[in-house]
Amino acid sequence: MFIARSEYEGRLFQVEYSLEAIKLGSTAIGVATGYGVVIGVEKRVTSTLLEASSVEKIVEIDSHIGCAMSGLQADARSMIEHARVEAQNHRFHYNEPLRVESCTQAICDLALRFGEGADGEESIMSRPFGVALLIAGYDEDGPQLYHAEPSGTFYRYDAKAIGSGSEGAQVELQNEYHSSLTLQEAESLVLKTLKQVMEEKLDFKNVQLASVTKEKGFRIYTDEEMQEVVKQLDNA
Amino acid sequence: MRHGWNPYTDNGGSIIGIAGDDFVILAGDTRHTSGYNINSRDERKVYRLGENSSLVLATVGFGADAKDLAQTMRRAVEDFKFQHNLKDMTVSAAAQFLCTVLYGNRFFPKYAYCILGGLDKNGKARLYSYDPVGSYSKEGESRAAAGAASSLIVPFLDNQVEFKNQYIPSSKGTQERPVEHLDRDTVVRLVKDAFTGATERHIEVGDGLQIVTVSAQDGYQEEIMPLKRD
Amino acid sequence: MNHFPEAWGRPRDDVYGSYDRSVFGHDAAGPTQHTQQPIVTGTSVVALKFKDGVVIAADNLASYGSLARFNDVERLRQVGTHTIVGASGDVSDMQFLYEKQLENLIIAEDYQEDGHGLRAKHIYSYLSRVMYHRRSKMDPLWNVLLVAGWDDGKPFLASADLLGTTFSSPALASGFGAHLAVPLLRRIAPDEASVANITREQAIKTIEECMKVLFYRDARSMNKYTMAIVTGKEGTNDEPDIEIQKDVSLKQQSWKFAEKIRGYGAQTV
Repeated sequence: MFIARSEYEGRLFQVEYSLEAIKLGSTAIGVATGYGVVIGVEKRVTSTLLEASSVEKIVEIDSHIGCAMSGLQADARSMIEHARVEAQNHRFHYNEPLRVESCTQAICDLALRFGEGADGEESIMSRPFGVALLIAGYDEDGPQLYHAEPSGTFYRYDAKAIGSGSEGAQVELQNEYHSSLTLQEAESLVLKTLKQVMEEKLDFKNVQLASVTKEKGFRIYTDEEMQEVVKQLDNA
Repeated sequence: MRHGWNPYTDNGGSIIGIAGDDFVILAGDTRHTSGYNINSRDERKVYRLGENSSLVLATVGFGADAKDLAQTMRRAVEDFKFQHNLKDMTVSAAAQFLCTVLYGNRFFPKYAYCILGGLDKNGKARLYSYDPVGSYSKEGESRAAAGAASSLIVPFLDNQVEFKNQYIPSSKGTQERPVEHLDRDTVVRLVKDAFTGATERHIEVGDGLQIVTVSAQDGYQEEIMPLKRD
Repeated sequence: MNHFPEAWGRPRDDVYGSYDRSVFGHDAAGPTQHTQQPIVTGTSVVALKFKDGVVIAADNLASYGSLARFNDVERLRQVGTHTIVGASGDVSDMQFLYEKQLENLIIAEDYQEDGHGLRAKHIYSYLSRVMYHRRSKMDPLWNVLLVAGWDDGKPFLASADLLGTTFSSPALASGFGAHLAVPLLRRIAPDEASVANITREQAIKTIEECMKVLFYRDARSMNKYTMAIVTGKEGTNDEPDIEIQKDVSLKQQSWKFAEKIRGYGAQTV
């Protein structure tokens, strides 16, 4: 176990600061339907000289699990790496895909491994992660969406927004979500919500969508698909 | 001449597994031997992997390795539950896991032959058999036998479970008898016949027969039938 | 060849210079050496369950090959309150188990002062794991152990050997006893059910008979032995009564048959 600073009221300030840091990150949204999960992020293309495709905020963990991030992307790399290894290990040992919840739990197990170890062993991190994840996946229990925080806690959501625009976005999701959404409706709900909370004007280059379905597994939308869905949004 | 110490021995006995449509039967004799000595007449070889599990493992060969494997599997199945929100390990997952355990000991093998049985999530029977370094077929099989009298039992099961060398009488030996799932009573009878036969012909087989049935309808059942003790 | 076995098979110092011990790293004493054979040995241990407990016996001889080296060795040891362990095979490995491993195990358990003590099956489980672990390290403890005691409200008896092989039976004997004593014991204890019909007196008598037969036929046995009788209260894990009879002499020996044997010893015809 770790020893972290906890002077007042038993609160772990390092963790609380990291939770605050995420509120400065770019917005990411996930919506789970009975057919699959859609996740979307704003890319914050801050310069016309920036190559938009190099902003990678949605990544694959396994063929049936993907995730969107908000916060320090570099921190997410070690979490994703861990999750990918865990997913492959599970296939190797058990000849079956890793469950989405188990994957989320495996990622969260890393979250509190900062500070000193109790027996004086080397710790692997000097501070908590500065990134939150929306983990989308499909397993034997159907489509699922999880939110993992730097505190190491995770919850399952029907629809969840994280990052700078999360407060407004969550209200919108709360109003618009219903349990019989189709995947297409989820796509447009994610885009529509992103559009409302983004500072830049939404186009097919500064947002990215991905979906997880039973048939196709995890898939990041191609530029063509992004153009198509953005066009539909503009027409609506 | 120096001769080194041998970390292995053979404790005799045999095991059988037969899969029906929605039930699987694993059985083993209860004799435990060292050479010509009978150590025990009531040492069981078939293990249930967890209190409410449909997974059953039978092991035979070097008794210490066999028991250690059974314990490793029991712990893995229990631990899996805690790691995955109380979901039971599926039989195909257990099958792959056993393979990695056995192969993980490739350079100091667990000298035990394993037969793993259970029901999949649709309640259909699955049966897998392994050599000491973990080779197995992911598709599973309909019957398996291992241990001291396997060479006596396998041809019997070939004939009685797979209907090998059986032809439809009217076809004058041109048409093979089609393979079909056997019912439970038939399988139990086959298991008992296989072991009474093996007991007659093999000195390391006898004393008692432990028969474990896992079925979609009746869950886990265990019976002990006496075998000849000579 | 000199008289240091360690130097045997190594390049000669007078030809190649002294041996470079630094190849062993920090441990300049030499390479790790493991037991390849027993040296000083104890012979059979015999044990039998009866209705209310278990009888276990082992003679007091420790042999050095065919030499009867020590005749006052205790090979039975009470471990905790519910258990007697008997060891055959290497005496130094037995002493390591008794004096170091089991002693420390019991001390650690007693220090807990939680009202819980290790019973027969716990001791047996522990010993089984130690034996299997050591064989897996290719450094076996060269013994066959019988664990006799009281657990789960009934008699307990099981065996563990240098390979980690384990089994249980109402009648057990190690070494020569597996050949000579087990058939005698199985006459009255053919299976677990028959244990209920065996009285304490009957069990003691049968074990005594076994010790006698073993003395007649086992060249590495002696006529003085230790016998322990564990008697428990059925259906409870209450502390059983453990009676240990030391320096028991073989009774009612009959050497009449020897008078008819010719061709050995000091007879003239």
